[in-house]
Amino acid sequence: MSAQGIQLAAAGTIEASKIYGSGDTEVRALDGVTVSFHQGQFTAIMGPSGSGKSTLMHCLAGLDRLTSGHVMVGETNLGELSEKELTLLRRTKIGFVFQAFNLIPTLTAIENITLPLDLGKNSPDKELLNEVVTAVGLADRLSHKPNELSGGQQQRVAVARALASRPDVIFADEPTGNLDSQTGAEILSFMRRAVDEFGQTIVMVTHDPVAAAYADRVLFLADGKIVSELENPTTDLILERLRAATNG
Amino acid sequence: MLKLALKNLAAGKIRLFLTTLLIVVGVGFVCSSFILRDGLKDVFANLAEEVVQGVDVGVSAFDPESDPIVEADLALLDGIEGIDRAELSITGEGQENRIQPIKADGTTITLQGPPQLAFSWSDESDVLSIVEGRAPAGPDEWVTDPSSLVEHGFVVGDVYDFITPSGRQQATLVGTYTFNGFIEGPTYMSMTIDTLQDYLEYGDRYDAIAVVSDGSVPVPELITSIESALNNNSDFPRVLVQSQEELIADTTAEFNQVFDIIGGILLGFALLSLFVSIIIIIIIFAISIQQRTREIGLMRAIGATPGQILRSVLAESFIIGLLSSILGIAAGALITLAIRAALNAAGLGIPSFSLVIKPLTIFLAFLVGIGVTMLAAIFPAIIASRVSPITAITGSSDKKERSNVRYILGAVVTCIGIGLMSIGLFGGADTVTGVLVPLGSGAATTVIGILLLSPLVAGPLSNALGTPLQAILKTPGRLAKDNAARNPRRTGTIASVLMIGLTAVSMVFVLGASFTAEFDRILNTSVQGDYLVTSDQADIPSEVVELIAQDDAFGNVTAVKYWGVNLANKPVVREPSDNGEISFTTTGQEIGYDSDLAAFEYDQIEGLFNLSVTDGQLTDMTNDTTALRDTVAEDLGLGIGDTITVYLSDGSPADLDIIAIFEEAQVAAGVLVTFDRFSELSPQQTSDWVAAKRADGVSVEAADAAFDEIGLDYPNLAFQSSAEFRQSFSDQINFITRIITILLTLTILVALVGILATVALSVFERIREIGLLRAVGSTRRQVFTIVLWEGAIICAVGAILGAILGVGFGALILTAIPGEIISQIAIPWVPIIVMVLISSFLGLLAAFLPATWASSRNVLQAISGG
Repeated sequence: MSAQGIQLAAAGTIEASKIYGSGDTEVRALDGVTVSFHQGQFTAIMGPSGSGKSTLMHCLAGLDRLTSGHVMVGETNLGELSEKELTLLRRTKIGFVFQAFNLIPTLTAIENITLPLDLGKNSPDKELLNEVVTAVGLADRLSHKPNELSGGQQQRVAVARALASRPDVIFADEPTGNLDSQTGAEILSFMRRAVDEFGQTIVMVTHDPVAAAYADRVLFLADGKIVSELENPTTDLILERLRAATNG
Repeated sequence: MLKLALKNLAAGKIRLFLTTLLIVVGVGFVCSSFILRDGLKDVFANLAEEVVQGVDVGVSAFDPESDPIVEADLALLDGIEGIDRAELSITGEGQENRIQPIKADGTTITLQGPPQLAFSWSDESDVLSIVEGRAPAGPDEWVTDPSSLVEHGFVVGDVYDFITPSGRQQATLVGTYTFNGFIEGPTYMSMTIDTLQDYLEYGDRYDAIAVVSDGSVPVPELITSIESALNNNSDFPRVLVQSQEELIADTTAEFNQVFDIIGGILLGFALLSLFVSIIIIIIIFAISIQQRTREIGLMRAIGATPGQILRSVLAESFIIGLLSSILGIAAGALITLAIRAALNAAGLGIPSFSLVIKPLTIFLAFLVGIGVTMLAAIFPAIIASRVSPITAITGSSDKKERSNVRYILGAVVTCIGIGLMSIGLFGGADTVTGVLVPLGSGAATTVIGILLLSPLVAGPLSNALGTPLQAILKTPGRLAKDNAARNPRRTGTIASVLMIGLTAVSMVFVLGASFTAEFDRILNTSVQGDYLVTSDQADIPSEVVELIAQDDAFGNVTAVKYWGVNLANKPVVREPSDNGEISFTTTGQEIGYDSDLAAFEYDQIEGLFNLSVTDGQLTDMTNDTTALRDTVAEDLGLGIGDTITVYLSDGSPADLDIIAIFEEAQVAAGVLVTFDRFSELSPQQTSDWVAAKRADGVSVEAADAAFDEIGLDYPNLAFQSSAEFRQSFSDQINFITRIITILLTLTILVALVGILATVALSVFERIREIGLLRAVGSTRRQVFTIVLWEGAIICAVGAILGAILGVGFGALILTAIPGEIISQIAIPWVPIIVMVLISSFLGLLAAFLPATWASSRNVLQAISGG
């Protein structure tokens, strides 16, 4: 289901490097990564622990800054933005789904969904919101607090929040990591639908091949570099590629 | 793991700092109450010692009014063995501020502060020495101390007017003098004994005889022989003969009593703030235990016993307590200086003293510091010891079973408090103390009960207060409100810590405003005169009335005099008791009825005073008639046409026919007589008040000017229009209110430190949430706003609860005070609301640091809990 024809980049990096420490203790979390994520595409990033996949995502999402190189979201070069501009960019252009602790416990589900919009004092696009809420399938639980929702429901609310501001790109960090496989599958299908039906761009970090198989494209990272890439992946193909990487 | 350790360390550091700070302030405040007291005691003990240096035996009269020391007494001492020399003296005891020099600018030294002390100069004294000029040698010469010379701008060689009991006098300042024991503050004046006798209208009496022994006879024997010489022909002892030690003890005992009271009051305020500190420390420890639950679970999992956990928390608190006590003693010295500066700025003249830290103070500092910290840590320590090892794995105990013991206890304590208050209000106690003691302790108990119950209202109140905030600040306001309401137990407890201070402040406000309002009411109903002359000393000379009466600008004028009187059917006699003091008792079965005697110029009273006469006519008063207040008449079972006998302390009776009954309580006392009768019954010749009416057809400006003109010659008296008089009363009330508020400020500041601590620790707990907010697009400013307003809401909850309780308690106390003292309740809403707003604003300040910290966190670290 890859996008056809001309592919516009929703986000990307050019020669992105992130170095922690210096001298003997220097760690290159990212080592000259150049990558682009196309509009309306669902990308999974895989790699072993310490491969730099989380760092890559954090830098793409404006949560962390590069040591060198560039990060682009839409037309914007994040390196040129101030802290405040980055925050406003996260509010409007970027959506987030974390592995856990995605919701503010004092706010209801619907309030959590509209939180980024409310923070900007923007009234939400009612039509879109309705569409998203319907898609989430939680219409009867919108006024519930997070602690009254199951883990899967909480993650669906988180995805809905990410969608509600119609961001350029959604970053998901192990969104199914804390869920059982069936609930995880529901969330992943929902994200898949968001890409297919709303044309949403999603970048997901995961180490679960089953989850990655929902994506249009899988990037494999190791030692801060992209070592491999797979279009239209299946679980088997991913596992094969991973095995190859481990053996190689 | 490193991140976790660093976080714990940071949190631990802040916890340690805040806990220590709270204990240090509390211990320091307690110490300062002792340091201040001991310091002042030392100053005055030294002074007393210096003053009587060289005097071996002092002789004074039991009853200076009717049987004073006279020159003849000196002759009686002639020939007593062991006396080197004996000298008559005037010590000025009880005559403070009676002799007042008028400064070059025409004003007197203000009375609201250190006293003006005048005593007789002695050439033979070893203690007094001239610094500049010479000693007073003849009449109308005086010397003063060098620091008063500078402070009041006196010049040696100049002639000064004096206001004295004998009227206006003039005396030349011939020098300055000192004795080793001078203390700063008071103005010392010395004159020759004859001059002082003259000024004080002593006639031929003296205050004392100073006896110097030649050493040949032991002092006790000397005392016995002096006693027998002077008390010879009397049924009861007429003089008191004391050794040097007794004189010192006598002088210091009086001062020490005052200092014990001052120290006690300060200690009360200190204990209040300490109580506040304890509650805050309990919260801080409890939060820190909660945060360390996993760590404690791990310790339990690897084999620590509950006892070891308990002891480790208690040991931690012991160390904090020990450290804080040491710092607290040092803080005590600083706080003492701050309190003195604050009280002096408010107008109390507290002399400088050396910072005396007695062993008892140090002992108490350690007792209080360690005791309080460990006391506060006990409950959290028990909670810590009950942490199950499984929490090491699951992360939290997730025990949601929050017991209701707190609320049950709170309800019981509140009921006890209300019960005590009811006993005070409806128990039928006769005395004001009998009412106020149960009422006061009941109020204190109720506050503790409310503190325990506070979570029940904290949640709803936070929500109510946060709702307008949400409308203004949108989402950040909403989150601030939710955070304040999220943990009602914590919010309630920490808010009630502020509530305690606010309760006390608003209660004082209500009392102050009510007394002012009552005073206004009296001025509006009973005191109708346009102009008033008043004096703290009841020393208005009779010529003042005459001067006003002669001036065409004024209509009716009257003086007012008061004197305590004993009404009975049997004469009163003086009896010496075992300890040598004279007491006055009635003979026979009937006990005397004490009331106050007052005299007015009854034909002038129209338009000046309204005594609410219900029966009869005051204008009919003669020397053989009286008017009684209704309650007095009722108590004695008397009415118009009956006769009462009035006895004074010298036993002379007077029969008076009752011709009128009046209701007025505050101005008129209980028994009215004419001035002629009054001067027969009382030794007081001067007046307490003078009231005057502006004459018809005279402009206010003209009358004001005429009144002020007369007043110019009497700088020691207050010449005021009724509006000014009202103002000066409310100034005095405000002065007292201000001093109490100053002393309560520390309690409020301690509470704010508690709010800072609680908000800070809440922010640590919620750091991931803050990270999430930042990730989805909250700006730093928005996070800052959320935390800041959370603090303000908590403060506002406490301030509102405090204001409500304070107003309630104030109203109850006023209800309990008899109607003749105060008959109305005034609630000063504006200052109370301002106080609530200020407290809420201070809440913003208290939350400033945590808010800054929260908003400056790195998003990624925050989100991962670091």
